Amino acid sequence: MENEDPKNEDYSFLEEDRMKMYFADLNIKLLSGRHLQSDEYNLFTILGDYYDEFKSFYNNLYKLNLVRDTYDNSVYYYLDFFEGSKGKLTDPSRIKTLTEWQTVAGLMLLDMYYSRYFEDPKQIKWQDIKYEIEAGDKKETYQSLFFKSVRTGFTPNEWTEVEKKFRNTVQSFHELGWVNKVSGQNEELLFELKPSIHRIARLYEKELLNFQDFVSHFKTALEQ
Amino acid sequence: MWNDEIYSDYELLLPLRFDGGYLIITLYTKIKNKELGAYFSTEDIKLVLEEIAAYHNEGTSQSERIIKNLLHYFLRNVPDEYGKFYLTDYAIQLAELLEYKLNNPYKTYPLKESFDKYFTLRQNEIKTIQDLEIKFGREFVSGHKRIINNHIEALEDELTAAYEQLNTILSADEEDATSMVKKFTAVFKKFGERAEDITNAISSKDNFLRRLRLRTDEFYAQASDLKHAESEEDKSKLSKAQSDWKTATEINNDLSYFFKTVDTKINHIRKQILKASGKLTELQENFSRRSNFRLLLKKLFHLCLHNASNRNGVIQLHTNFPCKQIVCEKQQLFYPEYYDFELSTKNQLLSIPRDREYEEEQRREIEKEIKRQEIINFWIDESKKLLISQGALHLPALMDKIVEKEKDLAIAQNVAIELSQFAAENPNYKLEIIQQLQSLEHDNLYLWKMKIQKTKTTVF
Repeated sequence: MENEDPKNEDYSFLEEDRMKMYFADLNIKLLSGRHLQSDEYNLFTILGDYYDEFKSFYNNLYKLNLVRDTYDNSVYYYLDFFEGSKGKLTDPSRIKTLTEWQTVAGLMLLDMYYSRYFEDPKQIKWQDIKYEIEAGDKKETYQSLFFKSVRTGFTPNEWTEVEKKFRNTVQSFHELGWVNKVSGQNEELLFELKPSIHRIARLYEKELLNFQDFVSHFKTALEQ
Repeated sequence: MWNDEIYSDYELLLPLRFDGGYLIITLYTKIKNKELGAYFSTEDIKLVLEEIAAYHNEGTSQSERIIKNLLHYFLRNVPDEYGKFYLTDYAIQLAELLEYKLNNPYKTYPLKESFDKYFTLRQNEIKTIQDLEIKFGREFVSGHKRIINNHIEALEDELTAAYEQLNTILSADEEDATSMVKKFTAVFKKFGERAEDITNAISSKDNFLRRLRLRTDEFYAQASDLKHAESEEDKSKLSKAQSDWKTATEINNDLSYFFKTVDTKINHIRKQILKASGKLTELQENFSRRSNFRLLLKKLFHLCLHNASNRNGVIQLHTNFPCKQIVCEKQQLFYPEYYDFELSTKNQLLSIPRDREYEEEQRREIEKEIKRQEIINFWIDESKKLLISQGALHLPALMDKIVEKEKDLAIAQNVAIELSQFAAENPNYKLEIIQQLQSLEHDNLYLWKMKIQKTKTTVF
């Protein structure tokens, strides 16, 4: 997927009155990694109206790919790197690598999105996550991962520690636009999964397309 | 009020599945089916526990420990018969509640019929306030309200169960799932019928509430007719009519509130039915692709979990399981004037100390300016008087005179400008300018010869 789009270098659309009001916000949010959906109405509408222009704009000036993706009948926009390139953001401070915790939690939330496929909105409480860890299908794996041991019960302190990490992850996903955090600081964690959480699956698209190769690569690595 | 004692007993009230939960249910079922008597022995309990363990492929639980946990709330010793037990009323009620919840009889019963059965008001059915109270008074309808609520709850449960089944399809094998989706379409057709039933029920309820309100208004009309009561008899009738109306209003308000809560729940159910139906259609369209994708995602997640471990509270992924990168440029404000920062700014009041020197200086400046203005006005007045008396005025000479007296050219200039303007605006005067330079005596300034001349007799 290379940047082969025709070079439209007409940026006069930026002189529109609406741009004066929203461009800075739009640009900052997209560059900070946010996934924009219809709940951010003004920015979403502008992106819809000037999608081609913005695509050329980010392609030409940032060497980044503005993606319009649809999942679960909802459109969302985000900036992505072209394959094999980091565009103008080669400085490591301009790239965010998802941490291991975020990767695990992200895939876990994506799994929960699917298991709530028929629900709307897809709300998750801390109790739901706790249930998955305590009594879900993968309880042993979760417990050894989050608590380092598989037991029938954990101390309140241990739970607080894990909850804190989930809170931080949900907060960072909220900033990325993957979830909508509903609860306040001192309330029980409550958030909605947004269709844009599907971006996690997009990130692993290559691995999923050639899943057998990916798995065999792992098996080889494990045997060595 | 909840206290520590209640919290400490909480777990004893709801035993875990293999810690007595399944045992109580099995004992209840066996007693109900006459497989066991009302009194049963420790041996019977052991046999039931073995049966449960075999059924669920679990190890047999310790019967002594479980009996000890269940004693008091769920099991009681039969007096004078050692080793014999019976189920407590609480245990029986709990099992009945579970049974009722899982096999709710209203699941297959139309909601409209429940509404019609308990909340119908026929013409001339209510003659007195007692009739209304007996039929719809708070204590008389509480049972009916519970039935309606149970009915709605049953609908919600049915919906939730269907969701769970549909979600199972998503993770099932493709071939089976496709046929299962077809079966579920039938389930959702039933939901469509339920939606229709709900709509009918709402219409029936609206009808009932309208009639009830009309009947309440009739009680009001009775009281209203007697409002001019004078005789003692009429007054006592009025008092009774008012009390009747008050009671009728309370009943009306109580039922209106109840149906409002019913409306909220029904709306929620309708919304869920619509959403789920939409999803089902969508799912059928691209089921095979999505199911396959979902399966792969599950495998990926499984792989990720098995490659992750916790080291000192930090999760680590082994064998280079890829952690992905996303765009994350730090915020840079290229066009700050177009950006609404929405930052809360604090207002600070700074108390500036008094600068006496500056104050004096400014005061002197202001006074000087005022004085200069006064002098200018004085000279303008004087010059005009001179113009009237002499009929003509030589501006350079006048300016020379002012400069000599006031030692300030600006004053002379201002006077000259004012007078020129006066002459230009006034048709009785004209300004003659001869383009011949003439120097002022008291200042190094050259001017053309300028003279203001009176054209005819003027009175100021």
